[in-house]
Amino acid sequence: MSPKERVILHSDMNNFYASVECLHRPEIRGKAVVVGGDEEARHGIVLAKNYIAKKAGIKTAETLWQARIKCPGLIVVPPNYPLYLRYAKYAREIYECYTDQIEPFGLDEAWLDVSGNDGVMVADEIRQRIKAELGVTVSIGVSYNKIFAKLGSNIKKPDATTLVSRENYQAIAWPLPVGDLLYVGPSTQKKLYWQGVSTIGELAAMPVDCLQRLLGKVGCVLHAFANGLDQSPVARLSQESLIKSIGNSTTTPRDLVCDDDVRILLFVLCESVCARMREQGVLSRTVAITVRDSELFSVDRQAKLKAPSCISGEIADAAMQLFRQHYTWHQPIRSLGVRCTDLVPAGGLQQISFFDDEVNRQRREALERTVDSIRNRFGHSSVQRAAVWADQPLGSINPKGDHVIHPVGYFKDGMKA
Amino acid sequence: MKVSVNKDDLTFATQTVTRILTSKTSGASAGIRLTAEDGTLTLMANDLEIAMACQISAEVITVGAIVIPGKLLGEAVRRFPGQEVDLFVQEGRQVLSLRSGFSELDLIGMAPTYFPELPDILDFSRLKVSQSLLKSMLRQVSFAISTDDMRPILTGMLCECRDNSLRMVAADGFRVASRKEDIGIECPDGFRVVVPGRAVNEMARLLTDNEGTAEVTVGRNYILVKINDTTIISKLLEGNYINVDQYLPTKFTTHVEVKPKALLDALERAAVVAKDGLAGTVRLYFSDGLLKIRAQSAEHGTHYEEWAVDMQGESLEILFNIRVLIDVLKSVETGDIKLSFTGTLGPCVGKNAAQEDKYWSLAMPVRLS
Repeated sequence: MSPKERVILHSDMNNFYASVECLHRPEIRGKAVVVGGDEEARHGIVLAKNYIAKKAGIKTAETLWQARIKCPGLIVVPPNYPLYLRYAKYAREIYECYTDQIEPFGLDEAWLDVSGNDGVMVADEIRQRIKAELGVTVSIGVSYNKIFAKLGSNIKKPDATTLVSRENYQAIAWPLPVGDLLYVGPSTQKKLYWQGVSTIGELAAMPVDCLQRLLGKVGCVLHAFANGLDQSPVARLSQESLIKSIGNSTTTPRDLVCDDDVRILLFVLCESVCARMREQGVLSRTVAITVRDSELFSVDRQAKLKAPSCISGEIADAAMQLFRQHYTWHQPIRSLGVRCTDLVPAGGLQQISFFDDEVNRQRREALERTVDSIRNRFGHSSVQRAAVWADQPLGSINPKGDHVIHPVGYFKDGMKA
Repeated sequence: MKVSVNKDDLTFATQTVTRILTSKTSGASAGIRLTAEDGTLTLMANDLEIAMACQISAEVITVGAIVIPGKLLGEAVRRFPGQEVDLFVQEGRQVLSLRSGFSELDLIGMAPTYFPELPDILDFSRLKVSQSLLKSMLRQVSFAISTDDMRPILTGMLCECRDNSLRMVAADGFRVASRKEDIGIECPDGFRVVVPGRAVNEMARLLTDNEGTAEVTVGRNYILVKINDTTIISKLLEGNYINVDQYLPTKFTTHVEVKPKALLDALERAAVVAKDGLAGTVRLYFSDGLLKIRAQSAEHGTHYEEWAVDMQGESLEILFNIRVLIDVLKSVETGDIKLSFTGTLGPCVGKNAAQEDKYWSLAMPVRLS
């Protein structure tokens, strides 16, 4: 590799949840283990599995009862996210010994930019340290771009290093199925299949304009991915939680003209944001709003909350207060957004203040969780706030259901073709 | 200016007044003004929010004044070899010559012209309080003064004088402390002011447990407290203080009476391991006359102990930040403390059996969110 060439590692913790569980529960080691959701809450699917369970043919995301048929005697443990977070943090502390350019991708994966070093040597050292210090194994892909590094970490498992260089990428990466590539999901895969493309090599050989016609903007991106032309940098390390913010915004069916309109929409947005925070198990300490007027001029304002919260009433009140402070109604409003940042994991300890009625707060949170489960079973519109009911077109927006949000985006500033 | 003073007096005065100089202050207000007149040397620092003056007796040969950078003077005086220090400023020059034993030091200073003058105190009321009483009141209350700027008014301590009682209150959102005392003398108009925490801490430092009195003068915008030969003048905080009595519950589920020292020691033991999260959380279980204390952290280990307590009411499990609870217990001066709980998420009220209604404090628990 030439001296200016980047050296990028992609580290993937093998069977992360299951490995950590086996580490903490000696009694289940050596048995078929899956981490599974709560069946009572209709979340009874396989979230992660160990190698023994995998050998029995169990797949991630299949239902637990299916898994039990495939593998009698299967051990199912509930997920313990705080524990996994802790291990993710420990792994990150090891990565930090080698570079400050660390970009986590989910809990168990991370890219590291170690340019200037011998990638394979660093990878082997990290692998050994994680095995010795944490007791779990990682697979690491070494390459000159993030995409090939990620493919590399997937090739040999567990506890292995795979180099994907400019010399060997055609031999290593190109025979892989196209679905292994980031941003190639089932529907893209299907479209490509009809064009006779089933491997990454075949995708690389497709002319760019063809791909763009077929897939739109993402076509150009995939072409670059497959040919090893991806230039996206590895983000710098940040100390905050893995998810940095949760937000929703919407362009309204009609312009908003008064505080009441805004209040309705803020409720709708905050309910969505808070439901997602509860799903992710986080609380927010700062609320930000984005207001875009009909002239497309937008303002962004934020304020700290008194206590970390995922209660939509509290978030909406804070958002409304921000709005009243900063918007003068010089123009009608075209779009509105609410974002919760400064996230802390729920289930942590929280000093109560005597300014807040904590008993009441807990009741409100329990109520909202109940609404979440009602909506999960009977649909979003089955329960509504009366205030939201007042204006059907505005109130019936469902930001949570209408948008598919990837928990972690590959492109930090949106996709550039 | 030409004076001669005792070295220890000068050291004390310099150290006392330089404490209020912060890195924020600059120019003339970053200095100390020395003024010699009428058999005294007065050192004064003034950062416009708080001013402090300390008077020491001196043999004054010629009167005069000069401003010297605070830090320099402190470092110099402490290390002088002799018992006496002679200070001299030549007419028209801004250099302070200090002479002690065989050592001589010339410090470059400034003319006192630009040194900020003390404010006039308007519409004041004045009262004399015994130092030991004032010290005890501050000790019981000042720990609860907030350091968080989110609610600026809580970074001060409420001082309220009505009829012939003086009340002090501090609260930071998690704790409240309130102490009331009969001062025996009628204060005609009364007052209700909020003194910045910084000034409160300086006062607490200067007060002694001896017989002397402290003179408190409260005006519209300033408070002046004279303790022995030192005077503190501070701006008052503007705004309305919260009514803390509204947070004092009237119904309780559990009452416990303990020796503060016993619980304090237990909490300090728990603090050895509880260093995670909110800087140490401890779990207390009260049931059937038994108190169980448990603390743990993934990193340091676990702590557990149980002992019999005098309790009434329902059993209870509650989490506290160890420091919050320790501060409350420490503020109890004599006798047993009576802790009254309102449930897992509600406030805990501490009262001192010996002080009855004169003192109460409140601590909020920690919740597992």
